Amino acid sequence: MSSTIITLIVLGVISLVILFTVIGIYNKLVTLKNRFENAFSQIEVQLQRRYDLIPNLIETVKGYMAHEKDTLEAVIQARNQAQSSLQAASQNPGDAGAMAGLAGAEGLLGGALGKIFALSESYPDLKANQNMANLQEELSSTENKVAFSRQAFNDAVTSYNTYKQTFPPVIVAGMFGHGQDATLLEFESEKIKEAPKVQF
Amino acid sequence: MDFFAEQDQARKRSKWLVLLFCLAVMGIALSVFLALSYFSGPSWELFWLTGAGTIGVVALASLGRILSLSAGGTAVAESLGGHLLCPNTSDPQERRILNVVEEMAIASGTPVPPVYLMEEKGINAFAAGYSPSNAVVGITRGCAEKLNREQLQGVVAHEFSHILNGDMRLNIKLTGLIFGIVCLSRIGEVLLRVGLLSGGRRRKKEDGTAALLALGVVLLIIGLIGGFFGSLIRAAVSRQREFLADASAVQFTRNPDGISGALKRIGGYSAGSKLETSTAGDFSHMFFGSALRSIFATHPPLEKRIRKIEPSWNETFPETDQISEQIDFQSENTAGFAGLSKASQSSSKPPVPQTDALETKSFHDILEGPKSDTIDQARALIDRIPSPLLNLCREPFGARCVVFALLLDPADSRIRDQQIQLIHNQLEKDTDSLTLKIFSQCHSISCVEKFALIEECASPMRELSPRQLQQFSRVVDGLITMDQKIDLFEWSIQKVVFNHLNLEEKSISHNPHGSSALAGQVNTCSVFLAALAHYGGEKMNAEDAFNRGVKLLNPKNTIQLPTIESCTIEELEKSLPRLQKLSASAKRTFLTACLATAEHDQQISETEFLILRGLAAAISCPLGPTFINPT
Repeated sequence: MSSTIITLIVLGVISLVILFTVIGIYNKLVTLKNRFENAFSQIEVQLQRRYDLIPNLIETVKGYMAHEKDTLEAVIQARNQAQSSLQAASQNPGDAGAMAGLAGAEGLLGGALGKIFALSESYPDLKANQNMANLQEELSSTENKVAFSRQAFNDAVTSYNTYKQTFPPVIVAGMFGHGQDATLLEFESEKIKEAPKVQF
Repeated sequence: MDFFAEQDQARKRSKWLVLLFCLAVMGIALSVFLALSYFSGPSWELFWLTGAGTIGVVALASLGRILSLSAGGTAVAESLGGHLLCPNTSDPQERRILNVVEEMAIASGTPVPPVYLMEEKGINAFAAGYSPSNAVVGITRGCAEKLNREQLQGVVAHEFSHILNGDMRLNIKLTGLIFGIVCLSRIGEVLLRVGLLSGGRRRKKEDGTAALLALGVVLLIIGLIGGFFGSLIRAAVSRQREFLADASAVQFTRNPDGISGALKRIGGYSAGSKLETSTAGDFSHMFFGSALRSIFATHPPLEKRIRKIEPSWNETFPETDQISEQIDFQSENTAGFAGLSKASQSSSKPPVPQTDALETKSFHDILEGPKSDTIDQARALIDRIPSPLLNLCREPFGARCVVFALLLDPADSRIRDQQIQLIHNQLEKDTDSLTLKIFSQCHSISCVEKFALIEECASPMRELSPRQLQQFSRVVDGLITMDQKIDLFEWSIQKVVFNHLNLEEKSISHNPHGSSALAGQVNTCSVFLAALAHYGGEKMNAEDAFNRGVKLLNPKNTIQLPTIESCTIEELEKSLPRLQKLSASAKRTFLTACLATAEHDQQISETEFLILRGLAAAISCPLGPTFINPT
């Protein structure tokens, strides 16, 4: 009789410990996920600021580069593309597709902007324009801020992924809808460049 | 109001509650034992088993709950579905909230807390976190849309009172303990189910099943009763704290219309202060308005709260549903794009009072939280800071550079080059160039403004990942020690920054205050008083200034003024660990004594300001910037 009770109490305590561990894991998963989702909002603000600057840039440049219409068109298109990718990504930070879309669009935009700045070198009047100098500096400083917030986001994503893959969370993560690993946000230009192939 | 005494009281109260709780748990264990011995006859073995089992379960559950609740303000805000407002947002509604919070934080000398916005229609707000340096403020969308600036200020002041009074610690403990008892009823429920199931299948073991059922019923009932009374107590305690917070909101803003107006708008609003999120119940005690309505209500009824603030109220609520607040874009400084447009706005702003015109404040007032004029002063202070710097402070990359730039050596360009080199080697590209660029701007502002700048940096800096934070603190240490010595400014900045970012090692309980009394520490305190007396420009009467402070510490004591040589930064640093362990009201007395010594010659010099600021940060006592009387 009393041994039944002992078994029951022992079982009760053990199941309680398990229950709390599982609740703890669940809470931690939610916390980590929230953390990287919130970290994305800082990237979003900076990128948005960049996208808001681009129309001003086009306005300034237009007068000088009248016959580079195609290049300017390309920038505007790339900007709009990047903006809609950003919206999609902010709905779902860490989602593989959204992150790849944003990285791709950012790569295109970076390339198009680079082209404008390269072209502007051959327009001395434009180079002397104060507004242009301000905008160029503003754009490059937002780029640094984006890179920095991206690092924080990627750190948060990594710690979420790592926690999810450790034991015991790995057993229950899938059950709670945390099955998918979150994806890092890497921009093309930041990747380590491949070593040039040597051809004979 | 004296929030130092309030903190001490909260501490005492929670000790009592824990004691009561232990008694209750023992009572529960005993009644479980009695119920079981009815079936199997009393025995010592059974007594120990039930005792250990019950106490073990309750302690385990309580501890687990307290730990999960005390994960800091950020975790709470996120589990409530809040999303972080970027300090550099350009949305006017969000900007207004952030401005109000910034002013309140700088006026009360706490780091600017991160602000979370919850997409809820109801008008509500909350504060969470263990201490000012890990607190967050949460605000609903309804609050942003339906309240005017005055009312928003009242709500934010109410939340700051919770932060300053240390209400969160008490509430988290209470919630955890209640959960432990309620857990028993859950186990009872499980046992009942198991008993009924096995009773259906195996008729032979009648005895065991009956005992199981009895145990289940007993646990269920005890757990429910315990939980019921526990919740009643929690609600009663919480309601008292709400009245207190309302009163301090009036005191902080000197404007009863703000908070009572906000309460009235809740009353006249179809969505009220209700929240949709499912986790709201656990945190109901943290909110501004009640999230739920029952006898467990953690908040007094609206009518009662309004009438306490405004006795002549005619019991009518405004039609809040029709209200939508217009925001004055100009005065909220919505930094257009990248702050380029701000310069043109500043000319149209009304002239702000300069602190120079202020008379010396009585030092007793300073430790009693912000006042309406300090809030105005804080706003003026923020306005005086060049807007490009302010904009940098509002995002993590720039905030870091601002701290670095403040630490660059202003005199010796050789050391400055070494410092820049260190930043260049350790951190991302362009950090060094930005730091160098803002260097001259950072050193052209006054000392008080520099510290306000640091408070502003606190909230974006908390967005750094742990790795980035580590890097940051390594570089800060490197910059400070570059010239092989630590000067007072560096010491003070380091204390403030590290305290804001929780980089200093804290005790596990997260309690910023200890419980040791002042009596044993008078000698430790005297180092600070002596430093203030010697370096405060009171060369002629350092002795008098020192004695004035000592008298406040202990009227009977007389201490010989330590020599000026013994008041080094190392000595100050050495005495800090013991000062941190003082109780909240002992810290208050000590700070009052420090202020008295510093103010002996009717003015507070920059050196004194630095010592006081560093000290206040190191012992986790918020001390606003407005005590200084610039000369």
